[in-house]
Amino acid sequence: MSKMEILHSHIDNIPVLSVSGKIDAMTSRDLEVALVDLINQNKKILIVDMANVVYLSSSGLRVLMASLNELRKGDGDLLLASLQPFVKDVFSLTGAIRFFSIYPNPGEAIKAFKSKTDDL
Amino acid sequence: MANPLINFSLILLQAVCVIAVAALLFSRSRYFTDVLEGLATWKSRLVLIIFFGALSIYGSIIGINTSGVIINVRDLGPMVGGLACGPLVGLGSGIIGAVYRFSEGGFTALACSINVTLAGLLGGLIYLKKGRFPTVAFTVIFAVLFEILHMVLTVAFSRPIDLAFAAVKQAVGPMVVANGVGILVFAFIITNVIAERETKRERDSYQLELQKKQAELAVAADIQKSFLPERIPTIDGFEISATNIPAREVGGDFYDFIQQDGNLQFLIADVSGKGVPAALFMALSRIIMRACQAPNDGAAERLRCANNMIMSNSGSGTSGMFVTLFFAKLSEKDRRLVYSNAGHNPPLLFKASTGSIEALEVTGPVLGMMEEMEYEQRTIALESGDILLLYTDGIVEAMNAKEELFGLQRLRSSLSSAKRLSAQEIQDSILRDLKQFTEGEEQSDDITVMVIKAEW
Repeated sequence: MSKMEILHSHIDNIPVLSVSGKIDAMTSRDLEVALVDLINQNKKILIVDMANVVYLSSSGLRVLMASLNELRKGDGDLLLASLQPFVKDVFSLTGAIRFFSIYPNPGEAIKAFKSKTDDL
Repeated sequence: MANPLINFSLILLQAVCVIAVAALLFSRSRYFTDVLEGLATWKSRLVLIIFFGALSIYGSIIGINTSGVIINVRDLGPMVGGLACGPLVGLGSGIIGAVYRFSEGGFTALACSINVTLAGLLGGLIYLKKGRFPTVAFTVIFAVLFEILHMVLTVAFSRPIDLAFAAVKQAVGPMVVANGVGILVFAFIITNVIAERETKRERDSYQLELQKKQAELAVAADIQKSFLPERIPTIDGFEISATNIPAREVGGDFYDFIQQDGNLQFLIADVSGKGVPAALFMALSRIIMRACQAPNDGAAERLRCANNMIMSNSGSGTSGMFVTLFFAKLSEKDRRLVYSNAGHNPPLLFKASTGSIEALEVTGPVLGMMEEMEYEQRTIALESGDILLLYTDGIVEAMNAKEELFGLQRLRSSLSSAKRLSAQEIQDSILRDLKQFTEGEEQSDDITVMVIKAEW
């Protein structure tokens, strides 16, 4: 029984984690492993596509925030895409919405990231 | 008559048994230990020289005299002495063996004396080159090659040459076998002892390290306990109860009380991460929350100050840690509660008048993520019988064997069903429900609970 699944893909060489299911105390450990793995591979920009995430617990939010901090330390970023209403509520209710760059879908996230790097 | 090769070899193998006992004695002796640890004194070297010298003499005495050639294991002692203890022991014991052999006379006396000395010296030089006892295979090959050299030298140094050649022809087989087997026994025992010591040393140092770490963790746990309030404060009109159960020796959850002119300030917090880093960040957060205390500031200002101070003091940008924190001020006089919630699990408020449960939602982001965050504060009135329950992740995300979470729903009903009890009893009741739910599953996260009940 798996309550959460993670699919790995790339758009323009940027890793995209497509998460589906429930991110709770237990499954957030798997998400943490997946994110830390990519960070350890020296990836600077990660996209988490949450289109199919139906539940996000505080421990899941902690994992995302810890990864965000870790990436920003190295001038990277964690971009979130396709937040469903319930998940979006978690982000706004906890104030975490202020820390993250959130986009309607992974394509928009990449476009925004690219235009930012072009400016530099 | 039986095959002389087998016959001689058997007699020499008996000598090998004596040598095996000698090898055991030697390998367990303090003198060899000294050599292994590089602490050999002149005295221990002398003892080893005599020991291997005596072994060489024994190797001569046990020898079988055939046509004036003594088939023997004379070379073995000095060879091992050299290989295991270095050139000095090898050469010294070789000379002892040589003197004895020379005194016995015979037409190969000179050659054999040279040989046994050379055996010790070569063994010692190998030790010097390798810096340690060589492998078993290497040792055996060395012994076999040396015995062949022994034969070549015997022919070269002994006259009449045809007699020497005949003697060597008869002796070469048994000597190679006997010395080869003898040194195999020695090498096997010595390498075993060396490996054993190596393992023991590693185990000892690992255990020492572990003990040290455990002692340090115990001290850390003690220090961390001192960061939690020693006793629960009393305030007129309220019952208060609180507890913290870390999942490991040290944890990241904490709570605090500050009492001041008829007001009670209290907070509950949960630091990201686990173990010692979380414990250190917990200590920092607690001190900062106390340092930000200003008489006229509200709850929101307190969190704003704490967040900025954590950001500037901890270099939170580099540690990557953050803390969720609920802070409140309770006034004894009018039972008003002003609170601000930095991303913490919303505390539950049981209203006695309606029997409903409200959640004291988040009013700002967690502390330690970003500078200059703004926080809101809310004010509520606590009425007789109202119960405020503060808790951390460890409760709602506790898991049972079926991988189900305790969850907010169970916590709410646990609170409702305990509404008539005292604050301490409510806390006990909730923890009991939790324990019943998890059925002895290992606690994976720190658990902290605080209950404040307005008295009737």
